[in-house]
Amino acid sequence: MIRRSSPHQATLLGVPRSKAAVLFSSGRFVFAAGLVACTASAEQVRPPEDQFFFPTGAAVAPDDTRLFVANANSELRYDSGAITVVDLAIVDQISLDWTVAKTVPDGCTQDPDHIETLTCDEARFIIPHTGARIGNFATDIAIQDRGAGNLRLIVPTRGDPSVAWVDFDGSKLSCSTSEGFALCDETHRLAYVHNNPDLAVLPDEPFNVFADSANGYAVVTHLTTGAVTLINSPSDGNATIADVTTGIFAADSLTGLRGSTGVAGRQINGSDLIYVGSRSENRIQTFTIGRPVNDADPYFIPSNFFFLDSVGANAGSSGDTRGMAFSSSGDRLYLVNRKPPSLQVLDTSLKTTGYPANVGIAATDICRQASTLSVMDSGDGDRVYITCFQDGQVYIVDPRGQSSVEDILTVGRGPYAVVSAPTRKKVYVTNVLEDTIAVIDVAPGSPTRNRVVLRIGEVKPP
Amino acid sequence: MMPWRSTLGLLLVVACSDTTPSAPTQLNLDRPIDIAFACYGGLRLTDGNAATVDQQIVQSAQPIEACDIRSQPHPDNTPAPLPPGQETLSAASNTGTAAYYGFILQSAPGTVALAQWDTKPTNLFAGGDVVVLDADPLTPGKNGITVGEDPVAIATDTVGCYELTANAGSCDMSALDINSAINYATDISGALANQEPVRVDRFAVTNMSGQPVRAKAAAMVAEPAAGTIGKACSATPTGLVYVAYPNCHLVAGIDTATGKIVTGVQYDALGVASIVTGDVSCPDECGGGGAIGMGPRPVTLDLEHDPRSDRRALAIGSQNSNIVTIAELGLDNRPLSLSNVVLQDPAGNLGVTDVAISPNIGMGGSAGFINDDSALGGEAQFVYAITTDNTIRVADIFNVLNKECDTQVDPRYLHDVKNVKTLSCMFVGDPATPPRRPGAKGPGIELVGHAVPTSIDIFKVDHFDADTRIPGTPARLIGYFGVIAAANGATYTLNVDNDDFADFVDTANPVSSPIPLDIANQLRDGLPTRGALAEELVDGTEIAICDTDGPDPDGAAGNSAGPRSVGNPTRTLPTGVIAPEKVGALPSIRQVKCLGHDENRAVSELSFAAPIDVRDSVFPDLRGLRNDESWTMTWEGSVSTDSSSSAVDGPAVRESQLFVDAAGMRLVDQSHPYCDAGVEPFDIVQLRGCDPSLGDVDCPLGYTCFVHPNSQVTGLGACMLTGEADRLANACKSFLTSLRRYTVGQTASGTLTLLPRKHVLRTSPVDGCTSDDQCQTLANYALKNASSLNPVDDMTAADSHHYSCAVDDLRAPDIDGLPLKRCIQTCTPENGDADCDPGSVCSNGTCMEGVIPPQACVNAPQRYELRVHDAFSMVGSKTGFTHPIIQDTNGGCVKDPTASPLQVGRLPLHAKPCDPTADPRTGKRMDGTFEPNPCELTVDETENQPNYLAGTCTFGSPATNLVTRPADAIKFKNRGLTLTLVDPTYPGDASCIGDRQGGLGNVPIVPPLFQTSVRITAGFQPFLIGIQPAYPVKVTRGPGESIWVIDEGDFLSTSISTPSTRGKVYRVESQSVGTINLLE
Repeated sequence: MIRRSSPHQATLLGVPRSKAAVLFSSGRFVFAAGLVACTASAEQVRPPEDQFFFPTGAAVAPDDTRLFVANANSELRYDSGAITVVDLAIVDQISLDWTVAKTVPDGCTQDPDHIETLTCDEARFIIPHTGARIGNFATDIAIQDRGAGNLRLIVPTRGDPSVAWVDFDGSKLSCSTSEGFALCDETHRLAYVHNNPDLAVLPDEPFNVFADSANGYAVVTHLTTGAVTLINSPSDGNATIADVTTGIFAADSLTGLRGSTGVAGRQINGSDLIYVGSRSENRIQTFTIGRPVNDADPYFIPSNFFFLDSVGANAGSSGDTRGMAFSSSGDRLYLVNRKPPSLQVLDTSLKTTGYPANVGIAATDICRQASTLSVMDSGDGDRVYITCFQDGQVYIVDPRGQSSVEDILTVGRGPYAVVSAPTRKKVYVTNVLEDTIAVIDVAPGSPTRNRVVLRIGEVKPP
Repeated sequence: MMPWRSTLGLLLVVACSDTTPSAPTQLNLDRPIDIAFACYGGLRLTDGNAATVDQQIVQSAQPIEACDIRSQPHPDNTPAPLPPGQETLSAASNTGTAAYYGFILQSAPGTVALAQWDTKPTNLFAGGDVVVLDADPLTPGKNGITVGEDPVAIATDTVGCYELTANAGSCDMSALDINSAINYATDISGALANQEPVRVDRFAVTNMSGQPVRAKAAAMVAEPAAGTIGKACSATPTGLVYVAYPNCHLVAGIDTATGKIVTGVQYDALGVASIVTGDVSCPDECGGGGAIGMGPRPVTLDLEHDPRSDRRALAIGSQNSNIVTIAELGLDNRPLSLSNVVLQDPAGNLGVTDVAISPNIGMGGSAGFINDDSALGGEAQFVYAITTDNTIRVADIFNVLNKECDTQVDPRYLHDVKNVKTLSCMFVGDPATPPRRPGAKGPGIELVGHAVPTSIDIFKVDHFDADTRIPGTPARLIGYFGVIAAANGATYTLNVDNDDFADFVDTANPVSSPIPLDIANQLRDGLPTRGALAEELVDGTEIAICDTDGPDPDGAAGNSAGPRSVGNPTRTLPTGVIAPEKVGALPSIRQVKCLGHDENRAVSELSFAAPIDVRDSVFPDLRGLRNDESWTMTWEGSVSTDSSSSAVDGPAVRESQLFVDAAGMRLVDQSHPYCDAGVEPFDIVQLRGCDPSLGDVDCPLGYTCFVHPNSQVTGLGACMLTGEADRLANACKSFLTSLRRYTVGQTASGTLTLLPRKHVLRTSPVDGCTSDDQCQTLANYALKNASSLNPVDDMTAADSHHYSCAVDDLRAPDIDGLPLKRCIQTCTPENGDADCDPGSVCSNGTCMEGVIPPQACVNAPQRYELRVHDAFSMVGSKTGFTHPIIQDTNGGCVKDPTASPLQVGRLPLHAKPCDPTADPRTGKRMDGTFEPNPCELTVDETENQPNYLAGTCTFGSPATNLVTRPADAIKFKNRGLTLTLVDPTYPGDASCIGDRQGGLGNVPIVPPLFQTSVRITAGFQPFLIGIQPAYPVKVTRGPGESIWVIDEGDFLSTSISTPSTRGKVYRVESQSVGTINLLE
């Protein structure tokens, strides 16, 4: 394994920022747009605070009170993307009233095609004046719990490319000294390693992110370069890009692209062993994070790796890992692969040697083009929820035994992120192509278990 | 998405190289998961009576026995047999043909696809016999029949008239009328004219009281096929099906005519199974209601009706239980009694995901035909359970014996066992059952590598007339065999009772009949002519030869014969340490004398030309050998070998943080890999720093690869913060200019303490030095090793360094644990580092290979290797480094007291003596303990010794003589190999190279990283059926013992001529496994 890029790759990282990044920074996007069209004022292209617009990433606060939604602004209708904050207590109340008493509040309607689903305008669920504006094409959100109700959201955005970090104090998001629905400032938009433009820039296509709250860092993968970026995020200080490592994965033999994709952490004695998957190689690379005693920035420490050779390998079709997540115990790694389309279950329990076993133990055929997954035990064992972007579905897999598909739900157009709130026994899915959030009831014994009980947001026509 | 320019380029490339246009392939299937079989065709309605010409003949579904009879072998030029009552009575009263139909269940779309093939003997099948029908000719494309939501299983009713599906998505069942389905698919105009659409009846499952049972099904089996040929189909299905409802802890026996549960097996919260009536209730899973209780969750079923004993048994496996329940069924196929097969489960978390029951089998026999009624091994009936430890457990349930068999017994213990009954099933936990092979997961059958078994079924394969299969070849199946699908797409075969092969080891030629190929319930091997010997045919007689390595393992014909080395072991030496003329003094793998028709010569004990008894003892467990593997023995070599293409024992170069403080110097790795790597105290940590020739690539961003200007160690820089490197150069000088080699002190899973390492003379005696003078003599000898001259002519200058014979407390003691004196290089304060070899630095009068640096020198991540001390590391390219180290409760690394004595990977130059009273194959002593492994002994070594003229170092004629001499040796045994390393030490030469008369004692001359490599080929190579499913989920037995493999997975093609598929179905002829019908 090569720690970082070969010399010519290092040069690539060192070139000036991409045009998109330059345009984005300091509001120059607006200026450029004006040159081309001269049709919209800054206010006219300001994104709405109370609507979803191409919701991609999502994350639930550790106390299950808030849902954070990243709006990607994928058609560039507005001058930026945004993060909106959804009050899950309201979501619960309205869905409960609907499922128990069939109450249809004002602004809500019963879905004519899926009569078990209530559709409501999102404004009532989005907490006013709590959002923040970020770059375009956000892909994911990771939450770092800084304690005492303070959170930090780490948000990779492809458009710049950059990684935004946004603090949440329990009442609102902030990533700028400006008030209101402000755009994240340069401090909160990480684009340079060690904040040093001469050292290296953030590689293209940031994709997934994992945050380790206890140890104050986050790890971002990159879809087209295979790079992995380390964000140093001390709970009492600013976040910075601490390290970038490249050359981890082999290039795809057809496209020549390298891709790092899914990322997840498994706790071992208080520290996370980070697992990173790839779209271009059927290998999982693990890392730990080193913190030098001289208080210099942390760095990646590559550790063991293993191959995903237990599913499909004999047919020459194995790989293209996407989402990854661990069970709460860390003894199982659930992993979405596209070749062949499968949810793979790996035994990551600690062997008698104290090291994870890292062997495949089960698999389930799933939809094609699956993207992300979430794992939750709502009372009767882990279930894995997998989004199927192409089919507009969520697969619910019972991973026990040989694992099996328990249910297939139609959730909306373009489901992407799926997150869960264990105490509420709900799963939330962002439907990118229709600007909605599907709320799935997963409570054991509930008459509406594994049904979309609420759709937040009016469905945008195709 | 691929950029359009790239796509276009790809298309152009493909177009230019492929001039044959490929028609797009019609895809017929969409993620199939199960199949059921039926027979349909002309049927005289006799109602079971004798045939008469006036009886009506219809096209109808009928018992599958009707097609089986029509498929029986018959002489050429004779009509195919016909079922009773279906004979041709006249030209008009002729039932015509009938054909088999396969109903392929597709879970995601909730449909059933139709396949069809003719009735004929199985040995007449070829590719293309089975075709997929369009179930709805009026709709474009190939269509299936919609049956329900998320169906999980399909089965044919007892009389062959309906296909039944259990629908998990809607918590009900469907009955597909076969007549209507086939009629619609094959005679659409008639079906439309007669208004006969495909009939699918959805029905609720109800309990005895008529209340719906809305639980989600996981599996279903039907009672054995029966029915009278000649009876018309009834309006409703006939017979019982058993459906497993995991969340109800119930296997319900459902009358398919009414949908009522009439019998069943249910588990209570404690896991106790009992026979129930239809008085059951289940959570309303499809309504979301009802609490899921505790208890076993049945997910897999198999029902076997043994034709010889008439035993009807239903096996039930639960996802969360190590107990397989066997229900004995009466003639009405309802449970009469229950019994348990308890599978060994030391971790307490075993579950079962698939089960299969074999027929009653007469065990043993090798005559090439099935001999159930006269077998030496008595009768057995096995139940197979795929368990969550990724193995296939086996238990003998004959006469409700219900004892699990240990399929992993180490063949070393079975070499001389001739009792076929014993070998058929050695009971788990029985004191008479010998130990398992080292590294076995448990008693179950293990697939190869990381394969995860998904499904198994058992097949009875008899010989047949005109059988052209070559006896002894893997594809010739005669007896009972299992077929196992695995998630990686491989399809394995299992010898249950191979009636075409030896049942125990042939004493005359043991290599022809190794235990894993003889006994029951072992994966079938895929290489032919295992018993081939180093012989050639002379005048019609096989005569031994020595000049052969055996068949070319890489030849176009494929590999064959028994395990052996490919060529001789090769040596890799650091340059400038041992002259080429003197490499014979280095330790080597034992050679034995081969007496051949062509010549007599010394051959490696691993070679094909070695005597049979040697080959038999060197390779004691065929299953313990990977099919082709390179083994390397590296002196003080690495414990980890992973490369970009393999991952078996960790990266060869690791990376961690290094801390230096009051607690000493520690390598800390948060992933806790050290016990897993097998590190032991006194092992060596070689820090690798960074490679300055690669720039700063080895370092994190912001760090530079710094090389101290005084360093004499080539290619060893250190990652340091770019702004700090120059400032720290002086403070870190000793560290940066040393070899940075350390001794491991304490070992824990996440931490290794590192100790500074003294520079010890390579030739320091293995049993300890005696004086400084001796050390000086041995230092001079070490230098002379590099000279190509005979000792009498060698004028190499004496070593100018100084050595002291002293105990080094920071290195390992001797083999008895006592302090060992070593020759340690010393230095004076005046001369400092100049007194030491390059890479060693002077510290307190001793030359050190590594010193404790200030923390500031090692703030960057450290790259390093973990190496064994005072031993060769024995590493297989696929096996990796084997060791017995585990983590204790405090996180420390300790030897596993329960580990097999064969679980070793270190081969020292000096060991405790072997025990001549111990069993030579197993190493077991009479008192039940084992001799040391490795151990030291004296063996016969055959070699070509130099033939010097008396009193000179001039070669005579011949220049060498073939000599067999007693030699000191280390015997080493691991899972698949027993090898002997001869001449671990060398006494030196007196006058001429190789005269062995030096009298220096037990002097090791091996330099660090001296390596001996050997490729061992023809280890166990599983016999795989030649299909390539993406994700096979089911193996099932079809008509004529045909093997059906259901592949649910997508195949994503990267070739324009090969379609991407959404699942496939394979039919493989068990009598001719190369004959494959593919549906996709």
